Amino acid sequence: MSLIKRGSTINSLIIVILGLCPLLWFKNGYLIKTEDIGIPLSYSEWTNYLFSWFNQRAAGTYPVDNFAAIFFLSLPAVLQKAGLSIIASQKIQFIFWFMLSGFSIYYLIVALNKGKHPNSLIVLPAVIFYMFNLYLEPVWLGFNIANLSAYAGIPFLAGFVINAINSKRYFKYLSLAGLLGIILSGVGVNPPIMYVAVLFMVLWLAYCFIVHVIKIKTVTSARFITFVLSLVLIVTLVNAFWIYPQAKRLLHSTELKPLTEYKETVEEGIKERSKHTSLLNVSRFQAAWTWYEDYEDDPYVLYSEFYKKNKFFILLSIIPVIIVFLSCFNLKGQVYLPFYILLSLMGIIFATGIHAPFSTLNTFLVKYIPGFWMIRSPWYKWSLFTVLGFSVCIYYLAKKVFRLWPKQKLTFGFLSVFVSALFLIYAFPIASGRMFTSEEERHYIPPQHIKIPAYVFEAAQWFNNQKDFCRIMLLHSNARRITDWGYSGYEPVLSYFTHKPLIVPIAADSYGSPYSIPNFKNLLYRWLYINKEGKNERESLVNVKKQNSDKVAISILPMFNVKYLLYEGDIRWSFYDHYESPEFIEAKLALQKGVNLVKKFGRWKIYEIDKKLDHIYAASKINILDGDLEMLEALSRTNLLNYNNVFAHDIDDSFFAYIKKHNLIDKTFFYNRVNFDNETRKNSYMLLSTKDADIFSIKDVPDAAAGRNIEMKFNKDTYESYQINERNYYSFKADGSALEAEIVNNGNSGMLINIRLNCLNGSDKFIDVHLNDRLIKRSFVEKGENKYIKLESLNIKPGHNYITFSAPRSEDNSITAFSSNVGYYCHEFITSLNFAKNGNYLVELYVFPVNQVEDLNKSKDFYINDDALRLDYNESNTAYTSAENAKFFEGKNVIRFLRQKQEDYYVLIKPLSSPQDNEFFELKFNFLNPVQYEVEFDGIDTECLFLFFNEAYDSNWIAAERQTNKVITNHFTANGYANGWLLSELQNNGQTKCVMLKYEIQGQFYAGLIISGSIVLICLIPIVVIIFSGLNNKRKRF
Amino acid sequence: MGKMTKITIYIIGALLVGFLLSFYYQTIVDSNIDPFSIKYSFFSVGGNKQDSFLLLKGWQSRKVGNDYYSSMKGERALLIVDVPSKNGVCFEFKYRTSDPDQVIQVYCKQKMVGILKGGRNKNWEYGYITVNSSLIDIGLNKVHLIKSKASEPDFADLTISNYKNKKLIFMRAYVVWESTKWFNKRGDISVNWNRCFYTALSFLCAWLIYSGFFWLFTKKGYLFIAYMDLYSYLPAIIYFSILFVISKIISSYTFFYYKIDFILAFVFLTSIGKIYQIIHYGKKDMLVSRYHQFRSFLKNKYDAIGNIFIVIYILTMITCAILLMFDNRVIAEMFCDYGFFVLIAGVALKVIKFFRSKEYLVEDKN
Repeated sequence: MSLIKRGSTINSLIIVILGLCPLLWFKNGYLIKTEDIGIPLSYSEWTNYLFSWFNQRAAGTYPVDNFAAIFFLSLPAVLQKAGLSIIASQKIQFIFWFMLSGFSIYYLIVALNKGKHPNSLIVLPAVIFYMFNLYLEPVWLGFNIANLSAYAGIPFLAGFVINAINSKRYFKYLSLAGLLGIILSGVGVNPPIMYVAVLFMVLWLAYCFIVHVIKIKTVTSARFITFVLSLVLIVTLVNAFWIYPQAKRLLHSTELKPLTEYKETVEEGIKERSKHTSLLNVSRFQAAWTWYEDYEDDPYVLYSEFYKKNKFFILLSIIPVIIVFLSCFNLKGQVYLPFYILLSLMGIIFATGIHAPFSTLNTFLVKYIPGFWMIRSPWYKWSLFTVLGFSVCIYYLAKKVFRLWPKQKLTFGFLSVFVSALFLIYAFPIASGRMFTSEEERHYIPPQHIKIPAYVFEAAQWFNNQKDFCRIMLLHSNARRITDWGYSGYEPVLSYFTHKPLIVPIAADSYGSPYSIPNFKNLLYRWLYINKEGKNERESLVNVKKQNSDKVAISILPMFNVKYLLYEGDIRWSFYDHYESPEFIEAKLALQKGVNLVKKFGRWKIYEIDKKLDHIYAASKINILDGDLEMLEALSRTNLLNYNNVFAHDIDDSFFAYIKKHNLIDKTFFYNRVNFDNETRKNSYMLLSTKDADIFSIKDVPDAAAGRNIEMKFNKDTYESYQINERNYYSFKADGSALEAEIVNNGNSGMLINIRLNCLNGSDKFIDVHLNDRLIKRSFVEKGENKYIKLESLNIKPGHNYITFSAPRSEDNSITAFSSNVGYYCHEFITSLNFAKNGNYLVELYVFPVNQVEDLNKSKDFYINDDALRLDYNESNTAYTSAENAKFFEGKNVIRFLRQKQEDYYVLIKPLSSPQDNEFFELKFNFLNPVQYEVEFDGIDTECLFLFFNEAYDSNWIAAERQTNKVITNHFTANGYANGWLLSELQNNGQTKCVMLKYEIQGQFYAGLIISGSIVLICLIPIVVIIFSGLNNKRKRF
Repeated sequence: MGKMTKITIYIIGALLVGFLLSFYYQTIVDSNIDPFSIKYSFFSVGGNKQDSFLLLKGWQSRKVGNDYYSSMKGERALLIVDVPSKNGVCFEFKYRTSDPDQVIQVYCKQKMVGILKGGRNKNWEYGYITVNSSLIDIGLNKVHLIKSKASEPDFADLTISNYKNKKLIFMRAYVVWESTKWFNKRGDISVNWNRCFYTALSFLCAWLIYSGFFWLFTKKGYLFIAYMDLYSYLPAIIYFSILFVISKIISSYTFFYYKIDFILAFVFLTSIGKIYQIIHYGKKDMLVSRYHQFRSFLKNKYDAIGNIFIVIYILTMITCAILLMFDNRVIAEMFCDYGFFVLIAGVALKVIKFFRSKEYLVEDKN
């Protein structure tokens, strides 16, 4: 007995010493930035995880995985609350999980050994292998919540099962499993890991059933099944706090849609991730894709090349797999060993993914076995099996060796230490912390050791001191924020230190990003300043000019409660595409109206928008927007954009009929519709974009201005001339040299012109066109007469310009010749609109991109059924407006007008008078917590009222009268993303009426929490009883 | 002739056979057909990863939900495809029409090559059109489409492949005749003499192993069987030698599609001698007796086989490590893959033994 005790103490001491290894990982004064968590959460940030509405991300979101992560993230939060520094709390958190994994595998080994503590030298290689192996490298780099929870929890759970069966003390181990359920809760963050963990338990229980119930018959099947069901029930109930709200939400909503989209891409994803998962790599734990790739010549894993080249490490790499399968020789009496050998094999086979030689098998499994498709990175997930199987097999081999030659204990003791040392050496990145790179080691990819600059905290403090509710929009359109001081991640660093909601771009392939604003994705960025069509320097300059609306900041952003724009000067803007330079962003912001620089913190600049909107407000009437989201950008130019909008596609017919009947519609905007039904809808506005090819057609018409100012002449040294049908033609010379023409611009400024050249062509060919020595077009010309080449948007500078045409010589020696008649043309927009009856309207044209208006004429002829209407440019509202009324007739009306350059237009047709009969109400509201608001309607006497709540629309947000608790049913998506309610029968009767806004899921979280808490308490009782009875027994003995 | 002299002659003979086989194999021409299959998307910009081709006239690109396609707006539409070699090709159009009477004629070089018929339900359909090599140029080729009705058919993608791929069985019927011209055109590729040498050694081993295996079922001496077996390779060697000599005299271009044809000829010719051997020297009673021996070995010693397999795997892994040390990753991976299957077999045998022999009941002394 004393021997056992002594053995267990020594073993525990070894694990504790090994468990302190993370202390070696840290550099003095530096934090370790990991991929999943980034930086340890502060206590206040962590408390937000206790709410089912996460209001600190964009327009708010249901936090899909926050609840499951509560326990995992609690430790550093609580430690910081207790006064420890962020670095100290991170160290403790690392040590906790690292050490726990060691104890976990040790517990399993003891359980496999029927509760007896093996000799330290027998157990040492297995424990060291479990704590130090290369699979852990990406796990720790990411600080993956689910992986670590499973890694530390699963061996315990497996051990509880055997101990329960062997000792018959089912209640004790069910209670322990209940408590372990809390540690395992983090597994819920990542469904693929959850799948792997559940599959392990299913296989393990099935094996135990075969061995203990069918073969050895140590337990009856009824008892075993009862135990298994109780185990499943208890672990599930302990996790009810995240399972219950999650399951209910998933079952009752459309949340599965992104899941289906994910499923469609998974096969492609597995293929991509299986590039390096050959059996050779998988069985040596070198199959992470990061080992084989680099970014800008900076390898993701700095030491991977060393592992690939160093002969000693190549030899080391095969030692674990050899040792593991050597254990196969000894199966006699090792009841559980076959299971762990098979587990190792399964881990290796599944981890290869869609890579030879198991690509067919794994493709089949992905297609036909439920849930397999979830695992997009097979090696990262299935290696959990491999490592666990390997560790147990290593233990069994050590045990067998010691038992076979009991007299050679000393020799094998040395051998055990030697093999353990080899494992440690092989996994030296884990042992030494080399896996976390420092700034000195990196030349492009950001390091993991980081020091947060003081200005980050100062800026966060400044934001936190702003009392009113507002959102901060971070400039730079890369979803991943990479700073020059080391931080990188999809969460901006500010998010860890401020409670103000942040708006950041989302990655294009993001599934359920918390920063996603419903329906809008990255539209705000596109509208504000980014038009990411071109990435080279030339195009980026063009894009500075391609301003969308200069009123986006002042008109659209307040709709999202954006008050501040944050420019992070420490962002490595050139990391991905050398595109968004500081000058580029400055230029874009300078074009926006109503944006002012208010504060600087280090290299951070904070801009404030002049206009703001309340978080919760009300309006007496509503605007109907009949079109897609793009119409908001169009409307922002017109001064007609207000914040009481609903999109026609967001409301059903009965709701529409109701608001129409009660005269609750203020204005109706039709976007890109050609039928104007003004009989039924008064106060209607028609907005058309010339970019819509289905509505506007573009016709070529002669460009008189170009005809006057431009002359084009072929250079006679470069052609051979022909006269055919009294027309002059210039063909390529026989030597195949280029044909050159001179274009003279007689004007004082550059001109953008379109040219049409007729040609006679002997055979199909591509003709390259260079303007002033730059290739501008590769044009395909068919064989035949009267073929033509169109060259558009030629930027002709004043004076002489040169254009050259070159083409390969035809095999049949046929000629290609251009006519001397050069046509200059411009575009005319044409469309026809249907009006229900005759009427007079006002017409306005809004040109975009706006800054090009400087080169355009200040007046324009707008033709309605061939009647010209003169429109003059109005500087104040940046539009061409008419002084006269525009007459439209019943039926079809053809409208047309000229395009001068490459500009486009929004055409606004509006009523002669637009009465403003909507009224906005400022409301008094209290923020109780992220899931509850109290709104008071003081002194509002209207019968019906629209309530707007600027959090992302979610059907689980409910509005209820406080006095009666009556739920208001007319819930709709306001402004394309937010919550809106139609409140009717809102008579005050002299009292202040009050409405509560609640997020329903929170109730389910509380219910789940009560269940989980109760089960934990119930599980604690037997444990406490056992501990006390154990103490009493000890006292009696002494 | 002494026994040792005989053995020496046989071994030299086997080395020679292996050497010649490798030599002849290397002197056959490479496949003249370079099979290609190119999939083009009619939607020139967008979410799919296929190549886009030039849609020149009469098309309008559309994206509806997850469907990317182009509609044929004009009565005549033109597209340009790139064909890498001058072969007869097969166009496989993925298209749909709303009008069942719609007929789309497909033209190459002003010659109609086929039609695409309209479907009823606006479901995507596949239309196959084969085009003779005379109508195909290497590089860009114009394809004109002319529709008969006003409705706008939609086209999603076009797969172009050289259809002769599909007629391999037909081609193989000519192997014997074609093979008379095998050895002529090898360009600048010289025979790899090292490979000939290694093949000779490998052949020697294979010959000895096969002879040993066959000897188990005969009542003759091993040397005799080995000697007889060597003769079975002679027809193939003579056949290839004749062809080689002929090819040196009659110089002409050849169509030959796969090297597998060489192997087929080799297998066919050697099997004549082997069948003869089996009929004359194979003994049924020996076969039955060996079968029983093998069965009893499997039944009683499969644990030992399992151990052997596992040892093979371990040796394979050590070999892999050595190969990796000398930068032979490809071969190391191949070894590891094969070794892993041996390991699976070994583990399976061990686990079967574990449960069949009730090894779990053996007391585990700690």
